[in-house]
Amino acid sequence: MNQAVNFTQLLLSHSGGKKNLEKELTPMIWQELHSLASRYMKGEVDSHTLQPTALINEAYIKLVVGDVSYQDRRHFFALAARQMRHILVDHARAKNASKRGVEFDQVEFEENIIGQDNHATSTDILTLDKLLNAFKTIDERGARLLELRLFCGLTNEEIAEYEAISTSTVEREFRAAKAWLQLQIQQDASPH
Amino acid sequence: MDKAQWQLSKDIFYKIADLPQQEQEKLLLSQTQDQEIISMVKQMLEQDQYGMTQVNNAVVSSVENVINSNFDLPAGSRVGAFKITKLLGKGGMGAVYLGERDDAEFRQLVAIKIIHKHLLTEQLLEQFKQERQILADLNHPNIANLLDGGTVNDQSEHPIPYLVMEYIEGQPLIEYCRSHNLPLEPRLTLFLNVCDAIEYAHQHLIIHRDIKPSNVIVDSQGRAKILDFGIARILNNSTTEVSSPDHKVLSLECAAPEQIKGNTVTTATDVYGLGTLLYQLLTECPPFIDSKSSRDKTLERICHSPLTPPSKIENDNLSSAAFKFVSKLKGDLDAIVIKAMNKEPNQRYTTVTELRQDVKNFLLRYPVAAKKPTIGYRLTRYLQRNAIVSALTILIVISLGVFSATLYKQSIALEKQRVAAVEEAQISGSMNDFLLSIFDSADPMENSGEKLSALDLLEKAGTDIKNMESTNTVKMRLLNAIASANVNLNQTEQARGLLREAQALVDKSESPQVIMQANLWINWANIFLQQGEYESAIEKAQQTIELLEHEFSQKDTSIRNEDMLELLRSALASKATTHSELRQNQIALEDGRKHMQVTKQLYSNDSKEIADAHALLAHLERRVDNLQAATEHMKIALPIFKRVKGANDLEYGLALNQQARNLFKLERYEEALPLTQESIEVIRHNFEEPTPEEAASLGNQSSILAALGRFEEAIEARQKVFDILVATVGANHPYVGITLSSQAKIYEQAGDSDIAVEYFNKSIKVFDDIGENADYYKADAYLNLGEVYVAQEQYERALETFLKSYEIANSHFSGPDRRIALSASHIGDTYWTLEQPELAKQYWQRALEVYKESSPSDEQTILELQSKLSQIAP
Repeated sequence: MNQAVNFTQLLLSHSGGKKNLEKELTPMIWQELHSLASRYMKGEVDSHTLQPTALINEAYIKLVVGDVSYQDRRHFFALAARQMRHILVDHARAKNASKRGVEFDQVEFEENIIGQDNHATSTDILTLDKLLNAFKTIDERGARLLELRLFCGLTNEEIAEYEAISTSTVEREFRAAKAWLQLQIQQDASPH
Repeated sequence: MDKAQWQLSKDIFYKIADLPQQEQEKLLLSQTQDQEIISMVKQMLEQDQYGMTQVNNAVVSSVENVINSNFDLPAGSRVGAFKITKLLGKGGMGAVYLGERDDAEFRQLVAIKIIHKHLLTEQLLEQFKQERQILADLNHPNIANLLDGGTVNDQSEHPIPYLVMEYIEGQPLIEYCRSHNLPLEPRLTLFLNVCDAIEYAHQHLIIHRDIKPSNVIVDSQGRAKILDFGIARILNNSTTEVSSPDHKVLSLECAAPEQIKGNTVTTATDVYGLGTLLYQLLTECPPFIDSKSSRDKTLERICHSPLTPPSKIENDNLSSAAFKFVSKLKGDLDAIVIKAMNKEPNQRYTTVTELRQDVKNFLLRYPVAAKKPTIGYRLTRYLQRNAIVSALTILIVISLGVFSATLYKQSIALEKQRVAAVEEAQISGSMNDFLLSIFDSADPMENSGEKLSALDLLEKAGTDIKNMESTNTVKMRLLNAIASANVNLNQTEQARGLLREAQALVDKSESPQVIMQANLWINWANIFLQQGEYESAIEKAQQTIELLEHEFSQKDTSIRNEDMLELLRSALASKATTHSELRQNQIALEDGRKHMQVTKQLYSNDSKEIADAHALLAHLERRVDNLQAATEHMKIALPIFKRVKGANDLEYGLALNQQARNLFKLERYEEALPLTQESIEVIRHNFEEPTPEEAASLGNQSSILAALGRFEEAIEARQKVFDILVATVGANHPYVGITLSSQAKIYEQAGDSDIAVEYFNKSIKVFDDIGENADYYKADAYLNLGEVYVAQEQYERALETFLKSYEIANSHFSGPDRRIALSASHIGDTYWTLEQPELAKQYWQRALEVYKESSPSDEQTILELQSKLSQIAP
């Protein structure tokens, strides 16, 4: 409870300016997401129901008490998406490091999800991270949309709401960003 | 590629992405010469047709990796007396394994939960042990048992705590209901089992907090078992070192508003959870959630939007069993769910016991506490309960319906009389055949062994008429007849549908359908009355009366007077009852008197109808506190009831008690006492088990005994009343509050005013718990309590208490009610005693004002008030 109130107050006060706020909030979100992720009891077999979306929203419920404006919510989700990405990337790196220095190698994972399209090739979180960073240099908003979608699981409507742009713009931007991302993964996977 | 190139690529991509392929190429080349951009856009177009499954998968898998990396225990290892067979599921909290007892004695499958070592601290381990003990004490047939628990050392010799639970093979609750096509009643029975378990847990001070269908498994024997019981609590209380207060992952389908807001979780949270479970049992979909809205919106809705009642939910994916019972949800079940799922924890059922009792009340067709206790409602509940007992009763009900249809017989124009007679014979013939055919299906041989309840029969009748090939005249009458039967059984949804169809036929008909129209409107009026839509009820009754009066004024009417009078009688009865419900007692009384006049034109003085009319007038006179008149009317009605209905008839028994009540209020105790005794015997004759009706008569007897100074007997009888009510309608029911009040009165009369105060307070507590539905009674309780305080000369307290009564009465009754007047008059008296004549005057005046309207025949009280007011110098 205390933490929730504290967090909300921080989120609402903006007292120390945006930078400071982020500095204060980030570890709290990180801690919350981490403990949530590590506590998330998944159902017996249906691993595909395990979504980052759920985790982020849990964190939101716990950390934010009462009514906060769209502005603040936007802030929260942006931070949360960033942190979720960090947790996943850190974890993958740590795991790679433990494999005796095979740094930045692709981490294997099982492709056990039904309904993949044939086109799909396997990719991993580190590649995704790398590509998102590259994308950010040419399209900052596009990268943010991808991040919100992938790591917060927000819908187009929600993204539109938080970014204060129209849903059709989100759809359009997302379509282009997706094409770009897919293209890079494709090229990444094929030998040069 | 740089920013500008990418921006241009995007712009071109947007422009051409949705064009046919040939045009894409052409337009693309016309937009730019930059080969890099052209190549990029081409590749984007190609990628555009694919989804991004693999990207999503990458994220999901890495989330899984984070979670799975936390803990592992190799299969085959031993945990206490159990051996792990395989992994069932894994998560951040730990893992769940399937195991079996590792000794030769007996084979037992178990679920072993192992708690994550990263979550462990010394303190947590200690709490874990304590909590395990609590869980071990939870021994209930509907809870998956904790079999064992302890710690096991992992590879690095860390002690890791574990729990061994009963392993339940079965289906999750809703899945089970759907796949077994379970009808309403067995679903509610499963729900009662779950309530039992939660109630039991609450007695052991454990809150579940996460009651959702997937946590309830129905085993192979059809028993509901709650999983994960108390696990949530163990983990929650013990992870104090790991940041936030409530680590429970909320499932939106069952989260209560206070959980979302982070407020205190209490047993009321479980009441809410049970409400959501009931909701899903009834609708097969979770409340507040719709796939189109974001989680944010859903949370917002859970906290702020009113709940859509289960009966109003449109779920296209309903199982056929659920589809069948949708029409039964309106009314009681809606009210129960809405009360359980109130946003405010203190507005819900105060305990699971009350919720369970109300569902039981519904199943037993007792009045449920969640509904406003209007007379019409109690009456229909009573009718329903007793009518469903046998198909025989239904036959009577249906024949009542047919009776109103036969009225129509003579409505055919005189000049067509001969033709009509022939037609009529045919109509009666086909109606009889039809009614008989309905009851054929009650024969197990006819209906492949499936037993049909009386209500099913009615439902079937309704459908059959729609499909039957017959003349419109026959159809119309049957629709109206079956609708009437449905109205009598409070199956209003069905009745409404049937009436609408009949109305359509009336509207289409070429000949005037005065009688039929009147019949339909009267049915509508009765439906509205039952549903508490009083304004509409009055409107329909009034329309009927005007229609008939207009017809009377036509000299050459082809309709017989008797038929119209009969309908007029029904309309007046309906209108009188409705006005009486609205406490528009004077208008009600006028209608009641007209009803009597019309009845007298039609029936002889010793007929049942005359007796009914007297009984109605008795009720209406009582409402205006004219007990003398009420008693006289009942005195005429009673012997007729006894003769016509029989000495053991239930309605006669109930009427006896009414009369005893009247005599009691007139202080004619010696006359009243034997009537209560006879009433109790008649009621007992009708039921094997004690009933609320018996409690009512017994309660009356108790009050009379007290008035006669026979306090010991009075208290003994009152105790019986209390026991019967708790056993039938449940401890948290207005009836129980009323009986506690009455018990208080006995102590007051016996001179034991301290105990009286105690019982009044108990009674008020019950009414408080029930909420505004019990205000009516609470006002009375406060009034009585105030009188005790006056007797104790505690005037300040008395004043406070009377003011509460006055406030409640004012906000509860829209029209003038005696309770307002009584409270005001008492407040005036108290102020007078406290030597504040100005305030006394003010309240006495108000009392007089209301009295004149509410009880004009109570001249004595009015005179008293006037003389009190005259004491005060102007």
